[in-house]
Amino acid sequence: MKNITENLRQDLSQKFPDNKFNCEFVLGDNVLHVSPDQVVPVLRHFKETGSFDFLMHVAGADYPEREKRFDVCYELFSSRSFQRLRLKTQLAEGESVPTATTVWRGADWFERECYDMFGIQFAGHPNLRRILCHHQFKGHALRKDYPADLQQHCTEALPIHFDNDPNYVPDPNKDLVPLNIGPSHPATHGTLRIMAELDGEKIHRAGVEIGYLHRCFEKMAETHPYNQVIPYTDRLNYCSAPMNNVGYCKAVERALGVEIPPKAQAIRIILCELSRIIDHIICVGANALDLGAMTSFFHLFTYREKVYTLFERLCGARLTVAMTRVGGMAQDPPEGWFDEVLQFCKEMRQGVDDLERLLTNNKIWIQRTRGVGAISAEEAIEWGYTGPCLRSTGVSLDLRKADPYYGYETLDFDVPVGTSGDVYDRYLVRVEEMRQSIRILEQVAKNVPGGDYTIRDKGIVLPEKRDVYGNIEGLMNHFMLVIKGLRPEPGELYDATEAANGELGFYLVSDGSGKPYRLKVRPPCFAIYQSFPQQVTGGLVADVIAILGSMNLIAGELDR
Amino acid sequence: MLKCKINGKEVEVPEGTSIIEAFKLSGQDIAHYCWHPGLSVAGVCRLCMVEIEGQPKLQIACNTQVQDGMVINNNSETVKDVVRWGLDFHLINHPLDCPICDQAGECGLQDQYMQFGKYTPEMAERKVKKRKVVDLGPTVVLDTERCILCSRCVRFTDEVSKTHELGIFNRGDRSEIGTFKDRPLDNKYSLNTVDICPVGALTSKDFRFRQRVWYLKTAESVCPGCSTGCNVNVYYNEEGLWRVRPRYNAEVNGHWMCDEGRDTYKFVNRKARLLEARVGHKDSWQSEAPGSAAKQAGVKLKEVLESEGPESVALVLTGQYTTEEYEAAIGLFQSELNSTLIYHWVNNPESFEDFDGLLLRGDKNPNTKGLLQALEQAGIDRPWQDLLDRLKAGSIKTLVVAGPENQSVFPDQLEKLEMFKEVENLIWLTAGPVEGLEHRAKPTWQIPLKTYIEKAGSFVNHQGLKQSFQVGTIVVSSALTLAEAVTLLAGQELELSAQDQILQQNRKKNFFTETRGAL
Amino acid sequence: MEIKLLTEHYDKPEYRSLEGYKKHNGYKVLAKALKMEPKAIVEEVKASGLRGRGGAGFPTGVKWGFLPNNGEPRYLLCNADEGEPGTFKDRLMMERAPHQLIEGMIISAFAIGSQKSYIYIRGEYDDSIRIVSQALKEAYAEGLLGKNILGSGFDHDMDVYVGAGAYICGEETGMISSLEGKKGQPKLKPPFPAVKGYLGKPTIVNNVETLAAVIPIVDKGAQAYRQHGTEKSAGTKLFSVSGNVQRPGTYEVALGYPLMDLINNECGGVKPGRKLKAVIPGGSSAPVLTAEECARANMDYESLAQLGSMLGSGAVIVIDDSNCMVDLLGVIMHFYHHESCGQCTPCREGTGWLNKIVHSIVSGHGRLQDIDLIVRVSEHMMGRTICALSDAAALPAISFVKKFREEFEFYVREGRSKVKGAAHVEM
Repeated sequence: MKNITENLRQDLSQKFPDNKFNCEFVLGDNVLHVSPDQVVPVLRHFKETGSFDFLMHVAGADYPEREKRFDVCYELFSSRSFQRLRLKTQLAEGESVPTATTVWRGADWFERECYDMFGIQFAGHPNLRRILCHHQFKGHALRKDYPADLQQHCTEALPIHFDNDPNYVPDPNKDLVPLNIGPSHPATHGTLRIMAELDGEKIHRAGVEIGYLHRCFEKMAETHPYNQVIPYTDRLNYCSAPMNNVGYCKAVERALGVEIPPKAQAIRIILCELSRIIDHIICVGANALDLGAMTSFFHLFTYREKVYTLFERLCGARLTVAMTRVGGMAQDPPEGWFDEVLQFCKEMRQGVDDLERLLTNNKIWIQRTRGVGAISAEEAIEWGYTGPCLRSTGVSLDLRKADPYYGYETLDFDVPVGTSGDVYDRYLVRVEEMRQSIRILEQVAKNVPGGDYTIRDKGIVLPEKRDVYGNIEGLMNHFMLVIKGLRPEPGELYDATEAANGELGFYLVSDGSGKPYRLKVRPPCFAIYQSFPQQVTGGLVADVIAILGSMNLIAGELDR
Repeated sequence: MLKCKINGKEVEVPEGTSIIEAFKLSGQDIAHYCWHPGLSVAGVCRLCMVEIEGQPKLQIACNTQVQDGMVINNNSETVKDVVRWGLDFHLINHPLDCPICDQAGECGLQDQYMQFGKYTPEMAERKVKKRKVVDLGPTVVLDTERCILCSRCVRFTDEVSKTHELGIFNRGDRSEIGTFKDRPLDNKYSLNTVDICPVGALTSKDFRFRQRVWYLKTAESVCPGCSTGCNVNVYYNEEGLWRVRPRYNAEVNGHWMCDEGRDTYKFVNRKARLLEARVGHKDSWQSEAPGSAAKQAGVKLKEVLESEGPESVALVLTGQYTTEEYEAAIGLFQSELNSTLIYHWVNNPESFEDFDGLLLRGDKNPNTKGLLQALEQAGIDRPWQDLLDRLKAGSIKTLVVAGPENQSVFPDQLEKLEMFKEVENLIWLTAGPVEGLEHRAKPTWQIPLKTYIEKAGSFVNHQGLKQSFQVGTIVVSSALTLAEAVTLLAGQELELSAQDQILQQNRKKNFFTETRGAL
Repeated sequence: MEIKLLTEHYDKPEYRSLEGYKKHNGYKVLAKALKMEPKAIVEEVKASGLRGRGGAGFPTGVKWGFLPNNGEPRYLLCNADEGEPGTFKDRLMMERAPHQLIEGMIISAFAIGSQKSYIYIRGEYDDSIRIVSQALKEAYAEGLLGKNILGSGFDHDMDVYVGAGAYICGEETGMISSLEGKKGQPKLKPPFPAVKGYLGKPTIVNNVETLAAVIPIVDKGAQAYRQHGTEKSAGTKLFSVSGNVQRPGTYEVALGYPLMDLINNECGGVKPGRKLKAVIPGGSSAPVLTAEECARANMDYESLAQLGSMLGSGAVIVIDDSNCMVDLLGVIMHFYHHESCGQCTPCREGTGWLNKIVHSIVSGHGRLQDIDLIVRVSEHMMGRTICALSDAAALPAISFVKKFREEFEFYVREGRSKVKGAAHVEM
């Protein structure tokens, strides 16, 4: 990331001549400190002048020893200059900050989450209710004084409600049918609850309820050493688990200031692309399955099995792999693994072609998906869409091209882009992305660099077993790393990778101890799903399923 | 005051400070094993090397005094190289014992290795083999292979306990710590050697193999073993307390504590405690929750008070509770129950004033002075004989006794129980179960109390120094503090904290709710 | 050419008795000294340039000048431990001329104002102990020790203290610890023995030969003493020559005498048919010299220091080509490993490690990196310890490996010595 603090200072001092802003460049991130009343004006300024067009997320953090105990961070991104900016403000308990939903609609659920987890008030928010924890939950889970093992159980479900009016009662004068779609429904993948008010077959009003799979991953990250958080990251987007591992480890490695060896980078690219393929398989396959096309689902899953076999050869597990470690990979790939990857690429090409033959020109498929759930590029950016859903609207934003890592810049691949942002375009984009992933895989697997699969810094990586059992230094090193953990310098950063669904970001705050102080995940489908009620309102109830499937909502990532 | 620069940082130190002390004052790290602030300088580990501007040769920091204007550093490559090899020499004969060694997690070698170490092992020869499990005495076990011969334990037995039981035998790399023939390591301060041993060579028989230290949390407290009031750290986790170690306090105990005080965690753990109140009498006991038992007892107390008058209820206190509890209890007794019959139970008047010259005192109560001060403030000064007379006369119908939590130092409990036999109602407040009470024929309430670790309060030691401490951990959450018990006995209500309220509500609402954290 | 300043009458058996000693100018110098000012004696010794003959070579007069003027009682300790391998000159003096030592000690004690001195003799020297003790009895009987020596008003008591077999007690503070009844472990310096030594009081520790050398200095004066030797290394020295020479023994020559002359003239050279390979010029703690370097070596402090070695105790060990340097290093390392007192970690562990490495090589299990490891371990043992035993172990190791590397490499590669038929000592 480039240091743009000077430009920012000049820009802001012109627009806000009376205010002094504290701008710094820390650990490669540009950070701007503002007071709570300046947040919305500054955000609006950035949006209107076009310096930053994406609000990626709104995160909170709790520093109970400080008088102003809460930190609220707004992560901004510019798709033109590919720059990031973190806007930070501090609040004391009971203070509030004006809502950013007036500037970006996509701040909606992120602010609700901050309120849910910390109790931070966003003045003027249309719907400031709990989103991930249940309505009977008392207290705020991510505050430092909330014990990590205090469970609270929910004994009754909320009836159907829309917006922040939980006391919905159907109007007897109107002929509208309230309907629960989910949470236990074969087409709501993972437990997602959609509440609809139907006018015949049309959706008159819709609302969503999430949080059924909320396990408070972020609290678990605060209570576990850095390497032990990796299995938890598997369970975020469990359909493409290695990508979460890679995203998290990349953030921690940046906090430590280490660069992993080229071989490890190559293996990580391979894992990311394999995960992308299997994630798209699930999305397309399940989407089609929901609409009745069963063949593609079953056919594609044989390829998923092949990838599982590859993962199993590498680390022993199929689905939740925990394959990376901070500093590199957990172990060296076995002999011939890269050849097996190439073999898989050949087979997968055939698979994608099969898929296209089944669906792309299929009359029923086209009728069910063309024009359904269309969204314009501006609206998508408003909501914070990233990934295939964004690219299907025509915006060519892919972090692998915009902010390359691990050597993506040396690879030859294209980024497919759609036009109308409807379900059909999303399908086409995903299928083409699978093809491009195969291209990347072949390039990398043919030219894997030699060397070590992990860095050998003794303060970060465990020693080899023959040293642990063979000499006192290795034994002590092992003990100390397991007991005390690897400890990055105190600081914070935001790091993002292009996951299968969009930008998967990790906001990591380290306090110098062996456990993260705060780890916030920016899940791509969270931002996408908040637009769902708007997308389905006015459409047919059958289209709800189609749109839902195309958004690729994985509850593990959505609810964490 | 002298000025010097350590690693670029200016430090001001008093005259006569050694460089290593100056490092500690300035808060910077320096590798060392054999130096200890409470012992003389040995200078044998050769790790605390520093570079002094103007001197060609590296010097050891523990034996070099600070001169005005000295510029010292220990982060140049030369010094770092010396320290790396110095640590390597310590490690070449060190056995691979970490998995079975108690010191893992608080080991000097492990900690300083990660910070200063060489990392790459080069010793390919066989390590020296020595005796592994040597019984040094009733409290300490020695493993000579792990010993790095820093001589801290030898200096301790020479200079602090002055019992001269330890020495270094043989020479060269066959050197071993050992005791002399027919003279085991058997003094009242022997376990301090385990504290100061930087590696796992000396281990405590009480603690070894029982728990790994990284599962333990620490709480600061004051030892309740005697009226010295040594400052201690108590190590605990969800299962209970595991050990007690001294904490530095220049005025009270320096760096040390006695072995008896280390046993004071045993009466705190669950298996030594009274978990529920026992109400009734011989052959018909019932278990109750402590709060409700106390309330019941309070009701009975009020009854008896109303019929018999204020002279019918008396309170017996031992010097084992905090000053705040005494003030609350005595205050309530006077204001709510209108009684001034409060007595001080002294268990060993003959050896009360004993002092062994180092730390052990004859008064085995931590807060005798606090109790006496509270009684003085309240204007109460009744001799023990007064109680005995009234008991004989039968004028006392209800006796509230705040029994000792450390029952091992009160061998006269049964004797006292005999004295109280004739009292109609006996309310005995105690942390652990009392044998003799089971056989009482008249109405009795045994109400569990919290121990010193579970309370916040202060003890006043023999010098009159008031030492405060916070709650360390809660072992029996339903037990009451003395103040709470007397509050309930006096007929008043207790307040619940906010967290407890949530827990209580949860418990009421949903029997699936699980909570951990309270033992 | 020998200059028998001290050893003139050593061949006479009567010299060891008081009578016989007196026949040859014995105790006359003492009488002269007792009439001088103690300070003058100190100045004379300073002017003579006499340097400690035990190994360190520290100017004796300067050492005597370190004593503080604080009224504390002073002690004189004679270091007759003679632990340095290859040295046997002090033994010669104590067995042949005990009264020479005693006279020198009384003069020195008078010069520094000491009322009590000890002769610390190593326990293995049965004969020396017996003979010196006998000599002390004679001296006491004659009024040369005790109260009012020779009517001068100077009181002095002298005792023999027997060591128990530790090389480390030859180190001055180790010796002081042993004398105090403790384990013979060196003490931290500062404070130095001259300020805080035996029993915490100012103490001077000198070698046997040094104390005896005071006699000719006081007798004929500093300038006469300076006639022998070189500018910086004045006087004569007793050299104990051993090893592969025809006539091993103790020879007194002037400092600065060429080494090869000593070996070839006085000692008759190496045995016929053999070639000179190496010489250790100053006891096993001194770095070894190759035959080529020996040709340029003079037996004084400066010349040997320039060649990277040291004069040390003056024990010359001659090595010819029938010896294997690796085996020899093994013997030396075994010695230091055995004798390390064990206080400081670098020495305690380092000597053991060096011993083990060399013995791995000798038993055929050496690795190529062991050779460099010997040098690196030795370098990191030097200069970091309480006493110099660590350096004494490290210096020979470094010099042997650096100067005879091919022998080490051969041993590692082939598993046996390059020298056919070399004596192989099992440790």
